[in-house]
Formats: sequence, structure tokens, C-alpha cells
Amino acid sequence: MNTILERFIRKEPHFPTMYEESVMKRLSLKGAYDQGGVRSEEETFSVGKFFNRYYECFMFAALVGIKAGYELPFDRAQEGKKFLPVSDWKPKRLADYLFMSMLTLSDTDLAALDELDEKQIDDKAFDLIKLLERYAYGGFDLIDKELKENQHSFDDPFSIALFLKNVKPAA
Amino acid sequence: MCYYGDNNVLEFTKGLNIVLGANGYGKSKLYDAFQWVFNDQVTNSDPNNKAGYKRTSSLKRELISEKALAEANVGDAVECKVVIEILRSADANSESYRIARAYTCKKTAEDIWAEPNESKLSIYRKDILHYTPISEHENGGVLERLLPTEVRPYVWFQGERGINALIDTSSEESLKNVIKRLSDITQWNDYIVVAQKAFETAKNAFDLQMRTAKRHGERIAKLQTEEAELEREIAKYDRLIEEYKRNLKAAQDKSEQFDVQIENARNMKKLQSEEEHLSRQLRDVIGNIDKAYQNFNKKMFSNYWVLSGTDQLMSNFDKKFTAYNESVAMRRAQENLRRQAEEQLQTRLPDGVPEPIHIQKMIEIEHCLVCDRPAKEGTKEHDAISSLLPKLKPQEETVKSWQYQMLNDLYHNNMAVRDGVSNAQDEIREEIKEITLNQSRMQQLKDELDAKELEIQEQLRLGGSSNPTGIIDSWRITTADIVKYNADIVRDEAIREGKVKQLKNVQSELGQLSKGEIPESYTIKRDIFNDLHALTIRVKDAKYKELILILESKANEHFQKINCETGAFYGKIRFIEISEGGYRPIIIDPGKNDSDITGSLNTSTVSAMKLSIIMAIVSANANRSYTQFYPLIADAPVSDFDPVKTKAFLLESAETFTQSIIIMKEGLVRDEHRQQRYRPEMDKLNELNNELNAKNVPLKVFQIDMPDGISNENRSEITIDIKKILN
Repeated sequence: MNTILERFIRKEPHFPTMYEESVMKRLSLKGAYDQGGVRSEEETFSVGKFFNRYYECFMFAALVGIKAGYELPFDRAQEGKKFLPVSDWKPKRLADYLFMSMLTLSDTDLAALDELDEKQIDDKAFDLIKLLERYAYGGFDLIDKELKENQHSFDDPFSIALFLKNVKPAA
Repeated sequence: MCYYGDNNVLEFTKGLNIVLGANGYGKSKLYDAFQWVFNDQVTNSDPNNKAGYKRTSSLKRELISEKALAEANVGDAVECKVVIEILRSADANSESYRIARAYTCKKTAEDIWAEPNESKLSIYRKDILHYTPISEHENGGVLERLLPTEVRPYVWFQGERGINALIDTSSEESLKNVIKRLSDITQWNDYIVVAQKAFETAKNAFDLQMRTAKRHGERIAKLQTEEAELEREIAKYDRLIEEYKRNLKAAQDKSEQFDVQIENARNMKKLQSEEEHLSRQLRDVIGNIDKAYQNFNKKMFSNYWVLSGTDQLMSNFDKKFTAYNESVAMRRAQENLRRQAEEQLQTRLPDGVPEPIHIQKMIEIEHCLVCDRPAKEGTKEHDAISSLLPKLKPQEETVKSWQYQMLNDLYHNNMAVRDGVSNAQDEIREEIKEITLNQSRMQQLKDELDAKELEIQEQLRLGGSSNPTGIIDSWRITTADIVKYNADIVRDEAIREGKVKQLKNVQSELGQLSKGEIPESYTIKRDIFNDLHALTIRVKDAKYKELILILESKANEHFQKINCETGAFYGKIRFIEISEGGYRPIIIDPGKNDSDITGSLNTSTVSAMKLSIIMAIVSANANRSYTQFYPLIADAPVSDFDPVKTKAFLLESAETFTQSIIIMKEGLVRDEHRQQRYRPEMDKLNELNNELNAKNVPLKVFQIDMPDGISNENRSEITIDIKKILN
């Protein structure tokens, strides 16, 4: 019997296609869908990007959404594009943290998980992935708004740290 | 050029005026403004151009502010105008003038300009209240009166190149020219010519008379032929010696240029090595900043800074996990109770009786050995025996907790990241502080590098480019030439000397033979004019030497005042005669038998010597009051000097000239509160001001500054601010 985490990490989350150009490519290296697109930090920095891979940008967006308590409904099939499964995200502790966050935010009854069968566990893992996508959507929306307000918002090398710091936490 | 707009006004005072400007801030352009008004030309900053000047006709719109040109629309006219107002001094019989030179061009289409070849000079004279234009044909005369061409180079000069051009330590000509220009010595040349002509006439008459002599005719004819032959020989050696001396002078001139070039190459090498050192430091700092930036973004993930602000989730999960733990524990407890209850209800044999080996055997043989009855598989009896076995197998987990390990791992994961999350803001702050410090260091190094680059440009402009290897090879050849020409001169002068002696003997014998043969008056006349000719030469020589001594003495007065405060050895200036009327300035060491030490001194002492001579040329002409009428205007005269010597030079200029305008970069330091800008060293300026006040000499200091945010790199943005620092 697989745990719900094992099911969760096999999923390939979708990011909102509408932010691919304005946020993903703006802040990450192009073509970084998979591990084939791995770049060194020097290369990332040299082109003025913050993230080596798209998933790092997705994680950042999700954490922005989580911190702000801001999720948006997301039709993954229509509006999304899949990328690297969670099992390939690094550092692993951060991926686990995001899963923990989803469990907590979805207010999942942990004890009830033990009673679920394989299919139900997989469904539940999928629900958590979709929740993660909604928070990421919220995060992308906030980053996009910031960029629209000032296109140089993320020119400074410290800007993602400062942006995150300034995200108003959920009440 | 960098002067944009119409608010670039400098009002100079009687006394000392200092204009401070860092490299590239328009110092030389200010000097050029003076040159342009008076000479219609500016300094050619192309280091390969030795001529040194560029006229309006070749400059055209280069004269105009690039910002003004950039802002012009098609159809607009843009003008560069310099106005110098010279006010009548209260204690002199002078007039006030306003001299304006303007150059205008017009933008006829994008990137196309109509550019005339000429600038327009207008001079206005002040009557009682107003300035009225003078007629154009008077222009030249007024300019010449205001600042005579012969004086101009000695009161207006620019940088080391300008000073070197005036005072060439290897050239006899430079001092010759000075004496010629600034004294009445040339009239003695006329006396010499007249005396010579008179002597030649008297001699011809004497020779003619001698040819008619009755006695000793043969001997006289022989002596006259011999005399003519010797005179030709002497003239030939005169020509040869003259030629050797010319060659020697050319070689010495060249050798002096090498000294300057070698010194320039050395300076350039020093500047380049300093620039390289700064570049290396800058590369290191940029490398550190890049690395810190890379690490900073890496640490967002690796140090879990990115989780900052989500701490509450961890607490919430912990609560849920605790609740889950409790629920699992509760379920297990209940299960245990159920089992215990079940065990208490047990009516059969206790656990472990009979021993499992026997139970296993009974199952195999399908027979109960306790009650000795058959227990076939599938029967109630067989099941009863089998039921005694479970304790031998692992107890089946009846409480489901599939997720426990995973949730427990998540719990520990939270514990692992918690420290990173709570320290995130402090760590970020520290990291940013460190990078910011490096950034200011980087900016400081960039500023220093820019300043060094400008110094290199300045060195190129003042000293030209250099090829050290080529210079050394040519220097060796030239040194060998000097030795050869000197030997030629010594040899031929000795031969000539012999011929002169022979000639004197011949002439003396002719004089003896003339007695009683021709009227005595012919002999007397010839001898008197011969003596007169020699006398005029000696008098001119003595007058010349007198002027040289005055000049030398004045130069030493200035030299001593400029150098004495430094505490370093500086020697004494001596003008040595290297040919008839040709003098060369050297520095001697009075402690070492007055030996020439010019070559072994640093450039700063040699520059001080040259400046002292220039000041002496003007101040020694006390009768003409040059120092009273003409202002000293010098651009970068002290670039070789340390602060002590710079101050001494400024004090000396202030004391020598009624008005001096010194344009320099010394006295400026980096402004810590502004990016890439400089501020004046007020304490030093105040100290100078106090000393000048004590001597009753006014001091005015200006700074050529650039507004913040403007860079020299973008010339079409450049404007400057003229600030009055001290009044």
C-alpha cells in the first residue's frame, strides 16, 4: 500500500499557461521543463534570472500563495501545462514541506487516511496536487500584478526575497 | 565641449585664483577658452599631434557643447561663445575691454550641419559707462597690447608639454630666444656688424697699400697670400665647427626628448600598473558580489528562507499529527483492551501449553494427543488445535496506521527546516549587508579606475605615447653621436686655434714690414677697427652674461621658495654656456663641486626648475612690469608636485604675479557622499587662504563640478556647474 505522499510526488502539477511568459520565463531559465535543462547557479545569475528550473519558480509561487492565503480556481486541463513531477523537485525537504502544507491547509483528517483504499488514497493525493496548483496560481497572480505595476520589480538580485517578505500573510 | 548653457561665469580677482577640476571635468577646456579668444585656436589633445594646436577652421562644431548639439532641432543654430572682460585696474593707466569670440553653426537636416570656417571676434572698449565696439581693424592691435605675443607663452602655458616646449633643458635656443625676446640685446648684433664692416674696409685699404710697397715686396706678397690662405682655412674650420655644433645640438635636443619620453613611459607604466592593480581588485570584488548573489538565491531554497512567513502551517501540522498520534494510540489501546478481554475469557489451555512443537505434530497427524481423538483437517477439532498456534505467528495488526511513518517523517522534516525559517530574516539581512558593503567597495574601485583612466588620458595628452624599446635604442645611438660630435669639435677647435696663431704671426710680420712703407694711418685704422670689432663682441657677451646671471638669480629665488618647504634635496639652477650666446639650464649640487645632477633628479624637481625659470623670465623683466600687467594662466602646472610643493608654488605665483589663474586637480578628493564626484579639501584651502591673507593677497577658489547622475561616458549629457568655494 502506497502512502499518500508516494502518490502525491508521482503527480505532475500544472502551472497556469497564462503566466508562462510573464512570470515563469521572466524569472526562470527558458527550456527548464525537465532535468535536461539544469543550469548552474552561475548561468542562472548571469542571465539575470532567479530560478534554475521552472519547478523552483512554481514552488516560489506556491509559497507566495500559501503565505498570502490566496488561492485561485484553476482549470488545469484548460488553463494549465504540466511539468516535472514533484518527485524530481529539489531540495526534497521543500517538496515534503509543500505536501505537509497541503495536508494542513486542506484540513485532511489524518486518521481517516489510514482507512482509505488505494484508489481513494490516489484521489486524495490528486486533490492535494490541485490545491497546490490553486495556491501557485494565487502566487503567480500576485507576482504578475507586481510586475505589471513596475516592470523592474525583479531586476534587483534581492528582489524575490524582498517580495516574499512584503507578501502580506494570511490573517 | 562640456560647457553648456550660458551660466558658466568665472569672476577672477586680483591675486590668486584657483580653479579646481578633476580629470575630465573641463579644466583644459577652460584654458582653451582663453587661448581661443586670443589666438583662435585650442590645444590639440590628440597625443600623436606634436604641433599642439587646432584652429577654429579644423575644429568647427567640435567647439560646441555636445549636449547643445544633441538638443538642437533641424533649423536651429547653436553657438559657442567665450567672453573675457578685462577691467581697468585702479592703479594703472589702462582701459577696460570686453573681448568676445563666437562660433555658430546651424543644423540643416538630421546629422547635417552648416559649419563656417571662421569664428567671429568682437572687441568692445568701455567708455565711461558702456562698452562700445571698436572697429575690426583695431582688433589685432588691442589683443597685442593686452597681451603681447612675445610674452604670451611665458604667462599662459599648459601642463608639462607646455612647460617643456618653453624651457628645453638641452637646447641653447630656448634661453637664447628668451633673452632675445625679453631684452634689448639684439641691438648689440647691429654694433658688431657695423664694427666688422669698418674693420674690413680698413683692412682692404691697408692690404691695397701694402701691395705697392717698394721694399720686401716679395715677402709681403707671400705673407698676404699666406694670410688669405689662413683666413680661408679658419673660415673652413669655423664652418666645420659650426656644423658639428649644429649636429651636437640636434643630438642633445633629441637626447633631452628621450629623457622626457623615458620619463613619460615610466609614468605611463606606473599608471598602467596601478590601473591593472585596481582592475584586478575590481574583478575580485565583482566576482565576490556575483558569487554572493548566486549563493543568495541558492540559499533561498537550501536554507529554507523561501518558507519564511509560513511558520503557522508547521504548528498546525504538529497539532494535527499529535491528534493523529493520539488517535492511533487510542485505537491501539482499545485493541489491546479487546485482546486482553478476549484472553481473560480464554477457557482452554493457557498460551504455550502444549508446546508448539507438539501442536504442530498434532496438526500434521490430524489427531489430538491431549484427549486422544482424531482431529481431521476441516473439522472443528482440527481448527481448535490450530487456534492454539497464533501466538507463534506475528500478531496481526488490527489497527491500521499506513501513513504513520510518512506523517512522522513530515513531522521531523518540519523540525529540520524550522531553524532555517525562523532565522531567515536575520540571515537575509546579514547577507544583503555584506553584499551592499561589497557593492560600495566596487563603486569606489570603479571611481578610482575611472580617475586612473583619466590620468592615463591626461598623461597621453601631456606626454604623448611611448614605445620604450624603440626609445632606448634611439637613445643609445644619439648618446654615441653626442660623444663623436664633441670629439670632432675639440679636435677642429684645436686645429683652428693653431691657424689663428699662425694668422696673428703673419699679420704681426705684415705690420712690421708696413712701417715706413705705407702711411701709418692705414695701419692704425685697421688696428682700431679690429679692436672695436672685438670690443663690441665682448660687450655684447658681457651684457648677455649679465642678463643670464639676473635670470639665473631670479630663477633660483623662485626655485628655492618652491622647494625649500619639502625638506628634500633640490640643488641650484645654473645656466651653462654651451656655445656663443647659447645657454642650457642645469641643476647643480653645490655639495659635489657643482656637478650637473639634472639627469638624476625626479621629474618634480625638473618641473620646479622649469617653472622657476618661466617665472624668472617674467619677473626678471622688472622694468617692463610684465608681472603687473599680465596674468599668469596655467593649466595643470603642478601635476608632478606633492601637496607641500603645490602649496609653495601657489604662494610663489601669488607673490610674483599681480593676478594668477591656476587650473588644477590637486586639492580635490573623492566625495564620500556622492557617486563618482569630488569635493575640495577645505582645510588645505583655508590654510592657504590664511597664509595669503597675511601677505595681503586675495584668494578666490572655484570648483568645476558635474551634477549628480551625469557620466562622462555620455558626452551628449555633459553639463558642468561652476561653484565658488572660497572668495
